[in-house]
Amino acid sequence: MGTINVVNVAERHKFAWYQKSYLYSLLSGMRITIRHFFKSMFGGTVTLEYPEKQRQYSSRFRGMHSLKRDEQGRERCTACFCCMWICPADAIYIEAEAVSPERKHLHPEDKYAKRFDIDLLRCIYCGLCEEACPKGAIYVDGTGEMAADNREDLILTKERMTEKNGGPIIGRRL
Amino acid sequence: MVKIKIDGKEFELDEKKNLIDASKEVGVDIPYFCYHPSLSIVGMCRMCLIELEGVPKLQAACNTPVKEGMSVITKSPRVIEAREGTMEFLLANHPLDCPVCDKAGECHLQDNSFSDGKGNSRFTGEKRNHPQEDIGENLVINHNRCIICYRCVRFEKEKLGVSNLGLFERGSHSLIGLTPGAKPVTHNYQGALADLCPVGALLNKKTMFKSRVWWYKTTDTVCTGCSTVCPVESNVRDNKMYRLMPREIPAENQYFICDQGRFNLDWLNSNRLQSYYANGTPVISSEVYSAVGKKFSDSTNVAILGGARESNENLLKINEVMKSSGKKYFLESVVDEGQNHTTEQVDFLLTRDERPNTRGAKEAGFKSDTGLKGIIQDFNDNKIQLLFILNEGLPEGLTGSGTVVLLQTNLTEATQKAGYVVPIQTYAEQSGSFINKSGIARAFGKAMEPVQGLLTSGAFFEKLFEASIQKKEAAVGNY
Repeated sequence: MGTINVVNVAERHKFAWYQKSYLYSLLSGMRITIRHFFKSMFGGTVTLEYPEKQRQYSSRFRGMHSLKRDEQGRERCTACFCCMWICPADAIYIEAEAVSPERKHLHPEDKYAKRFDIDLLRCIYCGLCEEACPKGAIYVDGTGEMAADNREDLILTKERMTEKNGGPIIGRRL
Repeated sequence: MVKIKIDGKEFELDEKKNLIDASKEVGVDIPYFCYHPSLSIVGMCRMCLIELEGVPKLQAACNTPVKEGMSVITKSPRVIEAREGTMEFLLANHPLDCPVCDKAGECHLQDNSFSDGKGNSRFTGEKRNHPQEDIGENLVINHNRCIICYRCVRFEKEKLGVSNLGLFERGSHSLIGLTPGAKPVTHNYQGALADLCPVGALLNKKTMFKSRVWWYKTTDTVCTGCSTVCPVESNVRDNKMYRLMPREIPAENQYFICDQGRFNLDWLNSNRLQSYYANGTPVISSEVYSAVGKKFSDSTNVAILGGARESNENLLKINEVMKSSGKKYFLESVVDEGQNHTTEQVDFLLTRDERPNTRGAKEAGFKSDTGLKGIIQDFNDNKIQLLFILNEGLPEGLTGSGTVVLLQTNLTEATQKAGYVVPIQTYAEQSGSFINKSGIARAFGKAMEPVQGLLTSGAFFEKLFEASIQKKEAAVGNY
């Protein structure tokens, strides 16, 4: 190599006399294979048989979004646009509307989201919308399983996203 | 000009101005809610309290005359404590409505509590609750959010001379609402009341919940509702015009705009003309240019009606093109009776003339000797072979055999009736100027992007002139 002032600080590994034989390296690799063989024979495998068995998500895993309801079953979201503003990927689209007397039992305040779409293909699952929400309405506490075979199914609308039952202001897995 | 000291620094201020305005000019910001440069001074909010050296109690800056040798302190612990205290009192009964309130982003309470407020509240009682009411066809009042600054009542009394709103009860039960027995507000300044309110107590129903204000792109333009041509800021989001807000020019005492022009914005966004028409069917532009260009070069007399809705730059260009064409031409901008009353006021801002540039069009040469009736008569007698109409309706009684070319921004019934129709840009998609009723030139900027290929009326005439010259391509040359 034609460079100057090169100092070689790495020492080439020198094999000992027994390591130089062919069988040593062969047996060392086989030991790992045999160990895995016995491990799988006695129930130590890590392969998860999906979909019969589901994986355990950690308590802070950021997955699919859901809109929560309060203890009285009213939607928490008041279309304040905080999540739409902070979303770094522009995945959220909200249209607000005034609450009419027919819908008054569904909403605590006089503004609600007429339309709340999250484009799951744009979303980067950062969870900033959950952090930004002042009402505890949106959480990213769903699973990571959102496969679909067309783009329309991957735009999450308000009906698919809203929880059916309400509860205290806390995410699903915390 | 007197010398005063603010926080130890010497300034020269105009003693005729209010202390708040004068110190804003030199860069010292004193927070306020109830003070307004064009309304009377009440000193009701107590937010502008400042310390004057030698005076034992804190003074309201809005009510303190500027005197020679005065020393103002705005950063002492007493003043800071006073501001924090005032904010805490105002927020004590103020609801936690920022997520649902339309004023968020442009709310004086939000801005002042962020810059001068304490950050936490010691209020543990129940906040008073009064349901929201409709008090006008456009106006909604939310009593909980009101901070009793009295601006709305003062505006109505001083500027409009009416007393629809009044202050009732006292203390923490104070309520501003319609005087008993009053019918809902119907005057032309409901939008101005909603602008004036520093918090979200008075709101416009027309723009309620449409969008948050931080997404708007602001441009300095003008309102085109009448010939006063008030300066406004246009708020555009996603190439749609959402609303107009007043642009303050203190030197001209210009602080408000009326409802007539500011809510009439749907025509900018929807039902736009985006294709050339010939005899009521859409055609491609080259057909229109070749046909009208031929007619232009064949005709001896040409007339152009309208122009009071177009900018001065367009009108001057049209005049130039017509002059260089060598034809005899007649220009007339008065097509409506209201235009003869350009300076007649309907109320303190609105005039009877609903076109912004009547005076500018007259000064640009759009004045004929025979007037509208004379031109229509000449057209019917076939003395005028080609008639252009700039963004106005088709005049009645046109029976001549000449060609009528209509330049329009929106699709109307006239699109089917005119001989040729050309789409043009609106005033919001170009920059230019209008001359208002008093002769002041009001410049406006480009707020929206036009559809690609859409021309201004001046550019259309230039292109038409080139099409009419019928340049013959030279057959020689190495291509």
